[in-house]
This record gives sequence, structure tokens and C-alpha cells, in this order.
Amino acid sequence: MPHIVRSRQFIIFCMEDNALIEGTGGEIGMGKLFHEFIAHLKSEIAAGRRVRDVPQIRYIFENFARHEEEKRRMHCWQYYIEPWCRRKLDEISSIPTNANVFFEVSVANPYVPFLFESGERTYPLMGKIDEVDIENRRLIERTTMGRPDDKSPPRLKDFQLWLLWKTLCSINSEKYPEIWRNVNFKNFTLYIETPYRDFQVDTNRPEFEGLTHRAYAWIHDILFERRGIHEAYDMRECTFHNRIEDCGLRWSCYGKRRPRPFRTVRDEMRNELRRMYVLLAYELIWSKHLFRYQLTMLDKPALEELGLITSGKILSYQNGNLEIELEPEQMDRFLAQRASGELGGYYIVFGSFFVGIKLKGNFVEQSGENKVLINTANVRVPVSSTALIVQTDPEITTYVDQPWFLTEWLQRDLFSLENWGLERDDKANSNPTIRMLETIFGVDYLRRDADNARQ
Amino acid sequence: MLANREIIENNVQRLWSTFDDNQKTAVNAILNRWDSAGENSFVLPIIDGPPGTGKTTVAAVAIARYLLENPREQVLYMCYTNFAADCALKILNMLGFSEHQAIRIPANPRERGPGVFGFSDLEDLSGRERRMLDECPVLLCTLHRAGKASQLRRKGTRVLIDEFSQVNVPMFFATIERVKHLSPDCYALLGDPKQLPMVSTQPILYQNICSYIIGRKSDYEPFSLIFQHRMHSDICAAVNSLRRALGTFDIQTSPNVQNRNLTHPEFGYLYDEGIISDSTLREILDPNYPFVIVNTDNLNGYEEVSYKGSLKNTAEANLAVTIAEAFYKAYKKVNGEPLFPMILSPYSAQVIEIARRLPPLLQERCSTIFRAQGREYPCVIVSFVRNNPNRFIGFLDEPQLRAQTYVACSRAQGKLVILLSFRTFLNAGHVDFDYLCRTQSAHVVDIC
Repeated sequence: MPHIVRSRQFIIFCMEDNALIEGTGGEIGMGKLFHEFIAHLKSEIAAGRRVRDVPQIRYIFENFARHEEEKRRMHCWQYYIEPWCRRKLDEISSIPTNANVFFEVSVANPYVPFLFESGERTYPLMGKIDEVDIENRRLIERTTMGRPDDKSPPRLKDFQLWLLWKTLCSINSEKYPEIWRNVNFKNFTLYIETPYRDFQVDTNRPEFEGLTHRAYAWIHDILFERRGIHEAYDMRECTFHNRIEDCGLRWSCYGKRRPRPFRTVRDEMRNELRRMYVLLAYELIWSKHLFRYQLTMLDKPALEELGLITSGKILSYQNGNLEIELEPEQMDRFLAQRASGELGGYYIVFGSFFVGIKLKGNFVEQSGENKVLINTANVRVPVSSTALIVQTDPEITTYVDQPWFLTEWLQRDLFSLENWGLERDDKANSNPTIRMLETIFGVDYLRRDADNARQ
Repeated sequence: MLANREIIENNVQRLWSTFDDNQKTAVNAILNRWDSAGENSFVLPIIDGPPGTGKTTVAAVAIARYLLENPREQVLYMCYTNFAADCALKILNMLGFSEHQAIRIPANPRERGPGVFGFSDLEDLSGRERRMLDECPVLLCTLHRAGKASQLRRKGTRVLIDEFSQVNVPMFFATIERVKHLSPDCYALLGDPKQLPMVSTQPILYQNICSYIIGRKSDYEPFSLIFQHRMHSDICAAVNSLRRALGTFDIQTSPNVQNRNLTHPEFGYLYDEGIISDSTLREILDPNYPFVIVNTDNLNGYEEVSYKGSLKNTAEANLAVTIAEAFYKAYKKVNGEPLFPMILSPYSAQVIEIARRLPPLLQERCSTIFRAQGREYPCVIVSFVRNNPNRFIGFLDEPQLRAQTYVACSRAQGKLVILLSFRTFLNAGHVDFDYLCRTQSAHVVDIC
């Protein structure tokens, strides 16, 4: 068994992109569309739009998802949104204008406390809450998983929402946006919403405390122990004969065993690629997680001094265009960085790095003395009067640019390559990719030129 | 099908006649079928092309010749940056490929123009757009787009990966995974293994795929391109000094560029010496000295830690700006077009410091060396920043990142000015800089 983490690591258990469970096959991205549409619908109603019936919501959806492929749009409507709307029509029709409902709220705290033996232990955690409904005092995590006859929430979803709630409650109220300072999130009710059912999650769940310690111990061991990956593999709950059906990795884990590349080559390939997984995970920690850790650990002046953020006052916010006034000194640096072509893009944070709403932004123009116009391609109302501009550049490789995000697809694709091969020898013999892998990882001879080289 | 086959054929022929033997061999190596089924060997052409030796041109000619011989086939050209893909696109256009026959597909949907068609997801494309991309003989993209691009290609597509110095091992294999369902008829790799790797916090990930393969297959010998067509021979001598320090072969200068300084008719700049009053500046700007090293010891400026821990040297930044402004004023073409020199530095803080000081017209002529990789400029000024009593030069001495010096110098075509503290860099065990300053063609100027 892995040992419990003895020292604080720069690991942030990140739950932004539904890290605990992944959709499968054609469902990938469907959850995003499902949630984004509901957020859009509720925002529209809160902004004064009235909805009467499901066909009207269908019309709004068709317009919202017009860029999606028709098949996907139909699928999403039929299986997820329509059942949800039929259940929720009365509830959403009664959302008052200017309701205090917020979507995609980021929460982060490097010191989230969990009970441990007679004391407590803290871990860094960050994530995104699908919906914070101040009006009805509830937090909602929405998912496309689940069936009409389910008796319990989809696997681990309750744990995910509980962790987000723990994180939110652990943050000092001074770090909340002004309008939330007097809200006591500890009394909030937690709900998992599937298209077919709502599940209330009890906040008093001692087993989740233990699960958190185990999760961190595993993360630690996989990253820092030589045999971590093997141990995790050996002790897996999901096996070939006893699969966990809603695990997003089950297809690549237990795909058909292919004979090619040859067994010897496959072992060598696996050894080489697994060495790289760890390195890529370290890359992720140092270039992404550490940066996020800095954002929550350092105070605002220090972050500004390091050039990691720029803060400004929001002057106006219209149609996604945000006009921000900066201090003259910050403006100077902001423009110099632009001129040097160093920046990749921006993240605009309303509130703080602990609790706030993050929007992606693109620089439009310098709209006046010490004023910049940034387009966020979003029409939601900011929750604060100030904004923090997180600068992204190739050096810190933050949110937008290379290469941290590569490490995620690199990991996935390397894993997939490891499990790939061909069954038929004749096909494998004529397949250049198999031939190349067998040559690079095996003892075959690599040539620079064909025998029948042209003159 | 290539509708303008004849034009492409003529252009390829014309370019082919200017190729040296190494370039011809490299093109032929790519064109030869390397899928040798049933044998205990695999053919993988790797082209080692130092700066300016025409790697991308070799790739473009190989693509053109292949499509002339196999008009129904398709090619996927991939590299690490959109800029490099754009360079390849320009060469293909020059060879006669129309905007529907060679298309670059960046991820930004707003990036559209002749031969460039940005989109984020395939679902966003209309039927007509999808057909256009499906039928396009050559698609160009970054490696990150390999998955999307492979969905627009048919089975048996040829895959060329350029600038492999920035393609590390996991990235290469992940890309292979993304295109494997195409059963690519063949793979080819082009690049300079000595250039800068992809940015990473893990030094082991710096290793590029060429070095990795050669490390595993020690009897494999890549094809080498040895004639460069970019730099004046004096600058090439500096680059060769650095190549020797990096333990690799010398490159030779093609006769077309060996005397090509800024006043050469090909650049067409006229040098007005009288406009510069300072004699030291005149010496630095003199077109007869294509490679100048400026000793900054007497500037009395020291390095300082600046934003994000990067370094800057204010005195050297001021000097770089003064020299850049002098170039801008003193060199003009007959039509009055001024020379825009490029200032490079290994430190982003120094780049920002210099950009702050530059007049608005020159403000975008300043970049880190990393960003300059794959580009070329008529005139380059390099500010190395470091100036400290301990003679410590940080990552400029590290095994992989020391290639910054090599990359910076090899960006210059007609004029290279290096700002360097001799006290810090020379005779302190920093081999690259010792070699560089011993270059015979170097003209050393001391700032008083």
C-alpha cells in the first residue's frame, strides 16, 4: 500500500476538467455542451427572458448549439437536455430577474483541511463549481452520466462536489468577492444533477476524508516512487474481468491484446514510454500546477512584482468587451510585454484566485491613456469591480500557450500507442508504423535509403 | 490532381538545377519508397540541415516531385510552429502550388487568407470547406494539430516532420499515434539536431527525436546538408566556430551569399557613414565588417534580476538601442526604405527592457532567441546580458540551452553584432564564447 504523504508537495488536485471521471467515446464533450447550455439558459432567464415550454427551450438550444454537428446536437437534446428540461421547467421558469446564480466558479486553496487521525492535514486543491446558487443556497454539479433508474449519483461525482464544497468553505471570507462576503457556504446543500434525477449529497461524509488521503498518497507514490505506477496498476479496482463501466479509460486499458509489435519490442517500448509519463507529469507540475500554486500562495504585490499578473479597475463591460484601467507603471510593462511579442493571451479573473470567475481574453486595443480593451467573448456579468489580468507567455506557459497542455494529450497518446498493434502478420509486416516501432525499439536495422535508390 | 502541373514541373526543374549534390541526395532519399515489407530493416530518411542549408526547400521540392509523380496521393507536412509551416507554404506557393493545393490549417478560426484556413473543430466546417481540405494535396500544420489534420487525409499519406530539434521524443511518438490510422506510406524527418529544443522544465525531455533514434541506432548516419545559403562567409565562420564547440561538422558558404553584406545589391542598402558622428558606432556599422563583437566591459553596467527572475542589463540595453537606431538611420534603400535591425537576447527581461527603450517604429524588432528560431534577418544585434564578477553565465553554458548562442548567430544574413562582456565570458571555461571570439573574421570593438 502507498504511504500517506509526509511532506507538502506542489500538487494541486485539479478538478477543473472533470478530472475524476471522463466521458467515453461519443460522449466526450457532450457534458460540456449540456452544462454550457443550461448555464446560458439560466443566465438568460436571470437577465429577464421568460420561458414558457420545452419547445421554446428547444428553439433557444438550436440557436445556441448551431455550430455543433447536427447529430451531436440531436443526441445532446434528446438524451440530456430534454429530459432535464421536462423535470425542471417549473423551477427554471420561476428564476427571478437578476437572481444571484453564478456558473463555472473557480475555487482554490493551498490549505484545505481534512480530518486525519486525531488532528487534521491540509492539501492544496482547486476546481470549478458548475453552479453556485446563492438564491437557493445550493451548489450544483451537473453531469450527463447516469440513467433514469439510478438509485445513487454517478460514481465519484458526489466526492468531486464534496471536495469543491470543502475547498470553498476553507477559504477565508476576506478572499471572497465583495458580494459573497456575508454568505455562509457551510450551510449550503449539495446537488448532483443528471438529466434524469437530482441527488442530494450529504456534507457529513467521513469516508470522503479517508478517500482524499488515499488519493493524495497515490498521486505522491506514482510521481515520486520508482514502483508507483506498477503498484497502482497491480492494485487497481477495475480489472479485465471486473470492469468499472463508467471509467473513461476502460477502453484503452483493456483493449484487445495485439501481438504486434512483437512482445520484446512492446516491453522495451513500454519501459521507454512509461519513463516519459513521469517526466511529463513533472512538467505539468512545474509549468502549470506550480504557477497556480504561486497564484494562491503569494500576495498581490508579489505577483505583480514578478510580472505574473496585472490588476486593474473595470470601467465598462459590454458585449464581452471589457475596458480596464491600469496603473501607469503596470500599463508601461503591459505594453512593453506586448511589444516584445512575449504574451500568448490572457485570463481575466473576477474576484480572486481563491474564489472567482475566470474568462479567457484577447487584447483588442489600447482604448485610452492607461486603458485597455479586452474581449472575453462572454456576456456574463462580472462579480467584482476589479479584474486581475493573468498574463500568459511561453516562459511560464500558463493557460493558453504551449507546452503544458501538450503533456495531457502526450500522456494520452503515448498510452494509446503502448496499447496499439496489429493481429495479422501480413498486415503488420506491411504497416510502416509497426515497422518503424519495431525498428526503433527492437534490434532491426534502420536504413537511411532504400535499396532501389534513384540516381 | 495537379491542375497546374506544367508550371510546378518547370519551377521544380529550375530550382533543382540550383541544388547542390547533398540537397539532391536528400530529396531522392525522401522520394525513395522506404516501406520495405518482410525485411529486417526500415528506411527512415533523416535530413540534418544546419541553418540556412535549405531544409524546408528540400522538403518542398520532395513534396512537389512526389505529387508530380503520384498525382492522386496526399502529403501531410508538420512542424512545431505555425511560422515554420508558413515558410514551407511560401516555398510551395513559389513552386506553383495554388491556394487550394497547399493549405495551412492553424487552430485559430480567425486566421484565414490565401492558403491559410484556420478552424478549431472539424464540425465547424461546412461541407464545401471540408471537401476543399479533404481534396487538398498538401496540408501543413503544427504537430499539435496532427489529430485534426489526419482526419482530412487519406490512407497512405506521406508524413514529413520538419524542425525536429523542437520535436521531443514523447511528442514524436504521440504524433505517430495520431496519424497511425492513415498507415502513412512513409515518414521523413528534417531538422538541425543542434538547434534549440522545445521549452521544458525537465532536461531529459529536451532530447529531440533525431538524437534519440541515433542514440539507439548508432550505425545510422543522417543525410547532411553542408552548403548554407543564408549567411555572409564571415558570419558563417562564426557559426562554424560554434558548431565546432558543439562537436559537429563545418558548413560551407554557397558562392551566392559569401560576399553578401548589407550593401550587396541583393539587399540594396546604401550606407550613409556621415550621418553617424561617433567613430565607434561607425566602426560597428561598417558594412565591410559583417561580424562585429562589441566588448561591453567598459559600460559599467551589471546584470540585474528582473521580472520573473529573468535578467536584464540596462547599460547593454541602452547600447543595443543606440546601435539599432544608428542602423535605422544610416542604412537606406534607394527608395528610402530604412533598415530594421533585429535585436535578440536570451533573456525575456532584457527583451522587455530593450522594447521599452526602442522608438515605436522599431519596437517589434526585438525578441528572445527562442522565438527567433527558424527565422532570418539581414541584420542582427545580440545582447548576451551577463556581466558579473563571478563570470557565471547560467543556462548559456548548459548542455542543451547553450545552443542559444548558435541559433542567435545563425539568424543573421548580412550583419551580425554581438554585445558581450569579455571579462565575464572569455577565458572562464565557457567554450562556445572562447571559440566565437577566436573566429578570424570577427572584428572586435571596445566601447570606451
